Amino acid sequence: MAITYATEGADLRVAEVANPLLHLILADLTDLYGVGMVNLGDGAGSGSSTDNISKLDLDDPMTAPAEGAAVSATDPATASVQVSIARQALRRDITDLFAGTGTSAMAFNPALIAQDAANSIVIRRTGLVASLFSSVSNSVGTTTVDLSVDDIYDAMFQLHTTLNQPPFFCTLYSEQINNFQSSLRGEGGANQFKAVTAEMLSAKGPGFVGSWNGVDFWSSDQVPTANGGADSAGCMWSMGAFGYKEAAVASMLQQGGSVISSVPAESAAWIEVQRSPDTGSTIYVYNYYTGVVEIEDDRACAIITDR
Amino acid sequence: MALRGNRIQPPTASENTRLPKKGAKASPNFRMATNPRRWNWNPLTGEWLPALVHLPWVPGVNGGVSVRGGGFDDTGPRQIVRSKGGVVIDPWDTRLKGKDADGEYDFTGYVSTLLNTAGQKVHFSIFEEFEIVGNIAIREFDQHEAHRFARCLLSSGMVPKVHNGIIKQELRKQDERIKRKIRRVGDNPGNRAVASELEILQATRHGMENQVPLTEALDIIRGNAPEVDANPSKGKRK
Repeated sequence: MAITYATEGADLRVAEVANPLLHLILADLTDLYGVGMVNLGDGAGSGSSTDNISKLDLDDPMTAPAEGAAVSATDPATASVQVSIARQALRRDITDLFAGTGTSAMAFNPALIAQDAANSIVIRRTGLVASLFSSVSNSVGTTTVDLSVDDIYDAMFQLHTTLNQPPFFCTLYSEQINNFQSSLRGEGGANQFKAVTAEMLSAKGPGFVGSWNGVDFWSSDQVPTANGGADSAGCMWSMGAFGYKEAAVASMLQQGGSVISSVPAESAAWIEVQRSPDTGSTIYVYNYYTGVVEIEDDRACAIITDR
Repeated sequence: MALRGNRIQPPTASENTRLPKKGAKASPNFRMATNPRRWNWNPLTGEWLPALVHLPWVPGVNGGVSVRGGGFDDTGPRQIVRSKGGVVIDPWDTRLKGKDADGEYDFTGYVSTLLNTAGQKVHFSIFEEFEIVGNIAIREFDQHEAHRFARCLLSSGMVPKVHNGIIKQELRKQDERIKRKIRRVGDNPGNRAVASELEILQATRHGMENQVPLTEALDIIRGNAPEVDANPSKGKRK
């Protein structure tokens, strides 16, 4: 007789053990805060959660008055938009039974929690930026028709028409990117898409899909819908179209003793841990304070095509 | 007086079912809005309908601010739309109820929500619906109803009709597309697919300008358009 897995193993072995690999499921970690966005500064300690961004139009040429004639005064056009900081947060509750029964491979350890928090911030930031695309006035593309190279040309022409200077940035829904590349296959001549390389990815980050005619393309699954859901509202823009503001409120909270002092003072985001002994669990809350705004409409062009 | 409790009712399908997270990520609340510069030409009817902008209704976006107790101060987003000459369509606006050739309609409360498997809210319009197949959510879109909604904005007077200048702008864009396509036809005179694309573009332009359906515009174009040679040979060009 031999000691076998099939018989003695029923008592002396366990059905399955945790593999050291913790496989992370695919996630879209495109971070659009670094893509042609204006940083509107730190809102902490400013006296309000809302900033007014003044806009001034200095696009007035000189005139040629007659000899001896007085020049009449011309006032520059002005406008303003508001950006408001709002709290963004994610909470994870982990019971003691779950935490206490984990092996090292299964643990919800500090490194994983940090990565979870970082991902949640990146996904939220991109969602906020993408939500601005819908209301841009300039638009190209045809509702319920697949995106084509023509639409991208139209967007570039539109930005040129409204006096924009490259570089141009373009974020499209994944299906729009597929349609674009499909349309490019039918194009001849020098219209070649420069697909992303490892070097480009390390420089530009996740979500970057390549360059074409001097325009950098990003893909995001958070590109909003348009026309009741028929279409995707991608966008091409130049620097100055959109802006974001963060609030590093951690230092203010430290003064009040609300946040542990190990949080760097300039942090706009941090993780807090709270014990809940009555439920036998530990609560992790990721807090982040930010807001986004469309600064200048003419610096962007929505690309509205079939979703 | 005898008191009786409420009997437990079986949960409805929509209460029980959550959308698979991968196919239906959390999406923000929104309001429909229009922009006087954004219009869609409907190839089925030949009419110009206002493009429906999905305006994010989220604290932190375009000056939107959360209010203590869970409310939302929408002054900022509304101001952005107003500054562009647009209109925010409030979901409770009674002008979203009415009657047209297809019968009565009621588009009030046009934002729907469902939870996904992560417990997050997915916001979508009433023109969309989801079918769960395996572990994915397949989205269907009712274009006919979305067109009725856009048409109702015009007929109720909520949104003024398209300006002729906007149509001219769209025609100029279409002209550019036609020019680019003509160059491609010139480079590939035997390519029927490219020739057909050119024909559609020309018919679309005609339909946009004269506000006639694409099929009608195609008939007109086919009667007038120069013939494209399907079998070109050396030295033979029409």
